[in-house]
Formats: sequence, structure tokens, C-alpha cells
Amino acid sequence: MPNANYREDFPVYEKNPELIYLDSAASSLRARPIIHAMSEYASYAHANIHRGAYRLSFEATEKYEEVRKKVAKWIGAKEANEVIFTQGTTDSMNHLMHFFEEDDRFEKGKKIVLSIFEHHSNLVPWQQLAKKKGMILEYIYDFSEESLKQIDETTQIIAITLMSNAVGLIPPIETIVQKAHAVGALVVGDGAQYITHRRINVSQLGIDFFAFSGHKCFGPTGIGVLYGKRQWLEAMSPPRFGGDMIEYVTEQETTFADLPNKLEAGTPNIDGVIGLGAAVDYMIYRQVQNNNTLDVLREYAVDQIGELDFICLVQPLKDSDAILYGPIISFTVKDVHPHDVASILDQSNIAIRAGHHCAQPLMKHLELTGTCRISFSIYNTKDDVDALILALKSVRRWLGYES
Amino acid sequence: MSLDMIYNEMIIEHSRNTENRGPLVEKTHHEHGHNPNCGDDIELELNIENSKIKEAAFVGSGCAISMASTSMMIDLIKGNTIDEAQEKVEAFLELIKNERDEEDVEALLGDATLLSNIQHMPARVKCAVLAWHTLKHVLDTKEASD
Repeated sequence: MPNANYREDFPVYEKNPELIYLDSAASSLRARPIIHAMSEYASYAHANIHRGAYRLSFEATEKYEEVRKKVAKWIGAKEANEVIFTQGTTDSMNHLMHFFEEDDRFEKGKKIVLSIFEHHSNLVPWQQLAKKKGMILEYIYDFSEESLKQIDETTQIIAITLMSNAVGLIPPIETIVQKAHAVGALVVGDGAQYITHRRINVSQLGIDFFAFSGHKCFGPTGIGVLYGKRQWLEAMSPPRFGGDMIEYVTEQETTFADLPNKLEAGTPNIDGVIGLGAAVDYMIYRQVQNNNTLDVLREYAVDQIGELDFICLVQPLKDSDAILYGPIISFTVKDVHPHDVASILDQSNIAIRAGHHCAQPLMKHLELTGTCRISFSIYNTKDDVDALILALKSVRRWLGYES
Repeated sequence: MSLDMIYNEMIIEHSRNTENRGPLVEKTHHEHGHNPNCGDDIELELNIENSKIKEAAFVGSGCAISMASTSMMIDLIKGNTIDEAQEKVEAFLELIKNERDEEDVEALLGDATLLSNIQHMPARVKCAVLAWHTLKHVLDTKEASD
């Protein structure tokens, strides 16, 4: 079971010791070392980066670029320049959409394949791209051999989550990358949930693009990463124009800077990058990824929730051996709308998420209007699960049903 | 806030009430109302004749608060003139925004006055006002078209 001492890393528990936070898939709580690093930077080390001839600016630039190297090493990129700082996963996906839109190789009649488990951030951009370019948008609903045949010679892009935010499911990404590359398609991976729970090595996996957000892995909001293989990032046209991304500018013409600056116009979110760097250090220090204790906690919660006959676990594809689940659990309470469940649990200081989890097509596919979702991080304990179970037992009574 | 200020008997009863469920056989107006972020989704149906709401009902689904509020509203406006219904909509929306006191609107809104407690649950205000905004839209457009 997770070490309860990790809670001490999170100041929110000092102010609110009763808090039972089960919504880490939406955003992690903020750990003290990250807050400290950001505060230190803002207090003593801030200056605008790049081109500063004075020490403060030079050192800020170094700190900023050190984080790029750190992230690259952490995710297994071949070089730091394959790491582009963005505002988050959504922003990363929109960068990519822009790239595919501008590039004539991605053309009318060719396919974009998504899984039905995608978050809107890895769905709406591709849907809009398909509309703009006349490409065909197709979904796979499971990962059987038969379904993966949809990845065929006409497929150019596959956009897939590595861990579903809505139901916790982990698609067989290695197989998908192999199938995609066998037909010359590119794979875009949404790592927003995966990043904090599993080790990733993008080079070993061979994935073409990989995106994640800082705030779902202990860092601040407004910062994220787009990893891309160098050959693709070099081919990308800049998603934004302005300062920092140029080489020479004349009245009528501009030549662009090399990677990574070409893709990071304007003064970037330096504070966010510093926070992300501290978050990576923290995750390494606490061995957050591949943390067996969270999987054990998930199993415990699934067992406990499974005991309650008025609750239905939402675990699509659970019969297939190839399908694994991360520490995210979706469920419904009989006769009670998920938002009522969330409001009632809130009275016991239990924070869960309710609704469609930015995955409306998945909800429609599962014939649900929404679910209740709990998600774990290293500050959660067995006690949190026990408190949840106890509170769940009273939910139906509030709505006038026998428990 | 105590939870029973919201999830009280009256509201639970109304949330499960099927009497005001449509569809209506005869209707002159219908309007779709939804909260995309939470999935409350209703279709409000009205039969308006000579500026009077002869019949009203709804179809759709949502949380207990949105369902109760919709049902209470329909109880209140059946048989009302457009002007009367409009007065109630204004009163309800002002009550929820804490611009009017409960005592001030109780005669007009009856049981629906209980929903003023939703102010203590800010995330759920949109559930309580959904049906009322939907009705307001119909009445405002109707008025404009008359």
C-alpha cells in the first residue's frame, strides 16, 4: 500500500487534512519541491531567456534549456531538440494538427484512425483536420487483431491514448506502433495520463509524436510537452510566428530559427518549464512511475467497489487479456446521476470527477450519459478508498432509495 | 452547508415525479436546453394558446436537481399567461442569484423556493436554472414574434 508519508509532500493536506483527493487524472496535487523551485526562480533568478548578454538572463536560459535536456532524457528522446514546450497536451495536439494541415502529404481520401477511448483533446483536432482536408476519420472500438486491420495502406495518421483518462484502459501501444509503421502511418500518442503512471521510452517505442501536460504530473498548469522525431519536427512549419522563432527578418521576408526555437514563438512559459523540471526530479525521486503500490490500491478499490451491488464498474474490454488498466476507475451508481454522486461525496470531503470526462463519443458508445471517476496518485492511501466506500453506501439514501 | 438543504424530500420527490414528463400530444412550442459539461439535457414542450400556457411537459434526462427544478417549474406555469410565467422565471432567476429574498418570492414560486439553497453548491447552480432559462428563451422569442 502507498506510503502515507508521501502526503507530507503536499501542503494542501496541512490546510485541509480531511481532504480525500481522488481526482488526480484531472490534475495532480502540487508537491512542495515544485512550489519551492518555482518560487525560488521567480524570487531570485528570473529574467527573459535567450539573447540576454547579462548573467541573470544567461542563467535563466541555462535553467530553461536544462529542463529540456532533463525531459528528453526522462522520456527517452534521442536529443533535447526533440522536446518542444507547449501549453499542454491540447496545445501540443493543435501544433500537430497545424503541421498535418499545412503538409500536402496528408491528403484527401486518406485515413486518420483514432480509438474510441480518446479524450476530446486527441479527437476534436483530428476530426477538424479530416473535415478541412477531406480525410477519412475512422475509429477502432477494441484492439483485437481484426479491429487493428483498420490500420491499412490508406492510413496516414493514428492518434491514440496510452492510458484512457475516462476508464483507465491501456491500449497495446507497441502493437499499434508496429502496425502503423508497417503501412507507413504516423502515430500520435496522448500521454497525459500515462506519463505519471508508467515509464515511457519514446525512442524504444518508436512513436512519432508524444504529448503530455505538466499539471497532471505534479507540475504547474499551462506547460506541456510535444515530443516529435527530429525528422518530423524539422519538417513542421511554425505553428505561431513572432519573436524568438526567427533567424532573419526583413520588411518582406523571414527565415526561421532551427529547432527547437522555430516551434516556440514568443517569450515562453519559463516559470512553467522550471516547475516541470522540478516535477520530473520529484517523480524520479519518489519513483512515481511503474509504482506497483498504486496498482495494488487500484485492485483493492475495484474489489471493494465490486462488493457494492448498486454500483456498476465501467471497464470496457475487460475480457481481453491484452488490456490493462491504470489507476483510474470509472463507475456508475444505480438510479443516481454522477453529478449528484459527486456533490454528495463532496460533503464528506471526497473529491471525485463526474460526467463525460471529455470523452463524449466514448460515453455514447458505452450508452452512458456519464460516469463517476476516481483516480489515484502517490498521496492516496487505503484509508481514502475505505472512506469512499463508506460514503458511497449512503449516496442512494440521499436520493430516497434504500441503500 | 448541510446536504439536506439540497437533497431534501421535496426535491427528491420532484426529481422522480413522472407526471410532467412528455411528450405532449399537442404542442405549439418546444425548446432544447442542455448543460454540455454535465449532460443535463431537456426538451421543454409547451402548448400556448391565446397567450396562455395550456399545457407543458418535458422529455430528457439529468441529475436530480435539474429534473426536480424542471418538474417544479412546469407545475408552476401550467395554466399561466405568458406574463405570469415570465414573472415567475424572473423571480426564480433572481432568487438563485440572491437578488431577491425567499420570503419575497415564496407566494409566487412555492416549493421551488427551496432551490435557493443551491447557492451553497455553486457547481450545481446551472442544473437548477436550466429549465428556467429554456422557458425564458421560448417566452422571449414568443413575445418578440407576437
